[in-house]
Amino acid sequence: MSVRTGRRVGGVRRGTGDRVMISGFDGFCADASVFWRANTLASSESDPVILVEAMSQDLRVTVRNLTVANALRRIVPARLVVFTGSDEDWNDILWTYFDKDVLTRLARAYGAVDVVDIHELVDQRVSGAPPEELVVAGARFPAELPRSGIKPEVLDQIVRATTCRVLRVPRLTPEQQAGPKYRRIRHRSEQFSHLYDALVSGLRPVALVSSHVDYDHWGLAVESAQRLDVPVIHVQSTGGLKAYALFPDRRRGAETFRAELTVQVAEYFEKHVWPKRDLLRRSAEQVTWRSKGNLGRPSWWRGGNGAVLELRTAADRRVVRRHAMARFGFDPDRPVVVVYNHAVSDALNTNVETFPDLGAWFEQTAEFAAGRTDVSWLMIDHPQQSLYDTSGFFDRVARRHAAYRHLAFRPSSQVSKNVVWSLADLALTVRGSVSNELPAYGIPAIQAGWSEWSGCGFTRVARDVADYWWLLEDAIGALACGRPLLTGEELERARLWAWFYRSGADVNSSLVQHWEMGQSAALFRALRVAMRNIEPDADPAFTAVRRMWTRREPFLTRFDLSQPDELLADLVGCPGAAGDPATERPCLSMDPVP
Amino acid sequence: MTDPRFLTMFDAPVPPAGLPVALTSGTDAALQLADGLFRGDGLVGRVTHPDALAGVRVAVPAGVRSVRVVVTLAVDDASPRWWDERVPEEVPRRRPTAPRLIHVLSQGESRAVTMLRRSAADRGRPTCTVVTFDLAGTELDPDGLLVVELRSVSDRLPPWAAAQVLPYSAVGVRVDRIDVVARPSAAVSATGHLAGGSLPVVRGRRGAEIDLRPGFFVANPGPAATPVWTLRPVLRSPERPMRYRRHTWRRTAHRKAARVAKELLPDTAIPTVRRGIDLYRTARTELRNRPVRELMPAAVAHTGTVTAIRPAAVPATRGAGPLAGLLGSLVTAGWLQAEAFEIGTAAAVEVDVSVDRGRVRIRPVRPMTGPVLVRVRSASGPPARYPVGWRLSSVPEGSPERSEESAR
Repeated sequence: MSVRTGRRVGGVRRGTGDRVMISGFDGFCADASVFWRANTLASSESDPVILVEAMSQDLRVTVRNLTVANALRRIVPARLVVFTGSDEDWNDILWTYFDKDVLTRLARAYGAVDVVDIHELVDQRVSGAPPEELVVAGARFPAELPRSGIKPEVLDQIVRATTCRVLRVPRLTPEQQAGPKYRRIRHRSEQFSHLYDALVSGLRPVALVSSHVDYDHWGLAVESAQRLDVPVIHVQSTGGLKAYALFPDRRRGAETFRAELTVQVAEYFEKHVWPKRDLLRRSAEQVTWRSKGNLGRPSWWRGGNGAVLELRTAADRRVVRRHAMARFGFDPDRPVVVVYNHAVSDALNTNVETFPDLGAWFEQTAEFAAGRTDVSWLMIDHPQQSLYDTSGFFDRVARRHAAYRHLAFRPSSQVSKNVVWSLADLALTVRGSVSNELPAYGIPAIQAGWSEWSGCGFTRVARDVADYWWLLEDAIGALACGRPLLTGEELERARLWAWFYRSGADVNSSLVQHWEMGQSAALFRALRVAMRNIEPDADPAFTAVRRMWTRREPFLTRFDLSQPDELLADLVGCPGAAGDPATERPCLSMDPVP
Repeated sequence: MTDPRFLTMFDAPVPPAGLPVALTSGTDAALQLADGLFRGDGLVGRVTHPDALAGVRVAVPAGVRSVRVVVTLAVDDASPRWWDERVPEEVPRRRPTAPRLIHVLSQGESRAVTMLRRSAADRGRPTCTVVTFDLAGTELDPDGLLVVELRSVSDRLPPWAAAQVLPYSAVGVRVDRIDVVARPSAAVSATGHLAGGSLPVVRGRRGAEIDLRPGFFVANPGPAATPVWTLRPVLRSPERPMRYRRHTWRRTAHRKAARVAKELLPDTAIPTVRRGIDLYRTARTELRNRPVRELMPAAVAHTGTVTAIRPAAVPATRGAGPLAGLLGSLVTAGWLQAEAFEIGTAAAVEVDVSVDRGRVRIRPVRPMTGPVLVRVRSASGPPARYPVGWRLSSVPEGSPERSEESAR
């Protein structure tokens, strides 16, 4: 959903003339080229293509996209067509070392027959110069492309979301909507849509592989593919190899890509994960246990020693809570609701949202909070807000409510997990990852919108604005009278989703390495070692993509969750049947805690 | 209220530490919670955020009705760098020697405000303060933690203090150790912690004295409702490491003597405190005639080759005689005043000032309700950075008295 700002790390640095220099990159490309030629089906000019996006500066993203596409080329003979490029807006707000040349070389090494600079094509078309005939992977496209079939309201929405992101504002004012930035993005978006429509309908790709599904240059490609019934694989920029997929024949009719995904994820979870909870419990507990040291998923939001949960017992929480209450000047006897503000311009309205925009949700919740003195309210800003807001949104809302002593506004960097979690009796978010984290540790969460897991049954999801206020009233009432808001089942579901997110749907393949390897010389060395030395049979990336593709499943899975229980038990190291001494000791080096 | 479930089946039990607890390392398993605190090896940790928490799992045996907690804090050569790297850009930078006020809380209650103030001559070694407080057995939950919170104090102070103290004061501070020992009685009372920026130093028959490095001190409520704080004036050398040379030192001492006269006796004061002038002359003569050995710095920072010396302090006069009269005259004439302010509200606290045998004695008029900042000032303006300094000699019972050697 969000785009990470690139950071120069390890062996990747910006050279002279904006060239990215990576030590060993040429050698890596040579090895990759040999490896993929040997490990994909031979294709001819008559074979269809797979469209792959390469519009992120971070090479880990493109390596993932290309690896998934090539895994697909082991199943379907197809040719790779990669589209790349950037424009001044994205260079301005996000990229610091975007290098088309490096991305092109990477794409070629992975077997791309054509690399199209989609931004350059759009630039030409908006400049007013007479367009030229376009040839992609042997297919000819006329200079005058037919108009895209996108619905006007869908285009409007994508243009609005992109403009908000580019301007870094929570919503557009009438002036901004009439301004040059909006006009420019609108003009370019129309051209993007014409081009993507032409490419998708002209090339009839087997699939579109993209790291992002929002905003103009990504979102419109996904929109065209979905409308023209092409499967879309959305590769994630975190973990090992994670990807979601939507197949046209599996569509449930939800409005957006992400909404569709929410529905399908929920169905899968109900069908394949929840029934296996006894087998997966030990793994889910382990993920939950390990998550205490890194509670900032997606992992790039925040880390370090402010993101660690060290509280263990109710007494621990009570004593830290006393300190925390005093810090914020809260009445120690009142429950505390924690409101997690979002990155306010992040992918607006790309999933179901109860309020018109993320900012409106936060403002109206703060208004409501001001009138509810029976609870204290801790309002926390998003850790990376500076990348998403230049309008001072959070501070503005904070100033508006400065007089209320039962409200405290803090940037995320100023509050630790221990302190916030000692206070949180209820969490509010639209789609933040806190709505998985907190329920996994027994703290209820209300969502004013959908997220990947919002259908998995461990959060209260508002149907509409009235329902949101009702849920909030009801929860506050429950806190006051001590009625539990989270059942044991919901807690278990939350832990299972945590397991699924970090393990079940995270494929560990040496062909991509874990995200935490960074974008370093070490990463490319590890990839070369894998390509040169590890025989590729049954590589998890290949088997996972095959499973997803042939079964039309909505994501990659580390292993087949539908296989018989005894095989599953082997895979997750479940210590066997009841009565087995191993069952009594879930981990050899540790004693179970009752 | 929500009752979370933080434990998983993989959380191994943490055995609590038995009394007495001597926590000296961040790797000790008993340090369950290190929040805003970077765990150390050889020290408990170093504070990384404006407010930090250390939580220790302590087992209090049946029969122990209260415990004493001793928290040793320090700043060292690395502290300014830790501070500089962690506070927001817009925070005004201060000199590394700016005083740091730190509020120490435990089990949700305020225990004391302490102060750390580094001197340039402390280079190469930490500057410490030790905060002691007692907890009733009922304040410790057998399943819970003993929590020590360090909170930065820089606002709601009188303007002269706010202008001096370091904002985000806890950032970069070392938590060197946390000790917990059993006490025999159930009754606990405040310990009346006094802080002048560094540890009290034992000086012969004078007993423990706290060097008031920034010219003011912090006093916390103690067993006495209206305690008496006794100050002794001293002459200071300029605050920078100096190469030791005997003849230079003698010249400096003489210059200092001249300065102290100017400091304590502004020109306009001379007619009203004529007797003081005479006594000042006596004091100056005495200084001039004193053997150089006595004027040498009280402690030398390094053994072996002498490269740096501590800011030297020498008595303004010997004994009580002449200075008693001088100080008495100054107080009577209103040239020497003491003032106190409550920390957290900056409200003025009324104090009595008297002079007794060469010492200034300050006493709050009404019982103390919270920690206060106290300073002595001459009516001619703000307190001088040098050469007049004060030593607080009323170190209350219960404060650990450490010799200079053991403080290192």
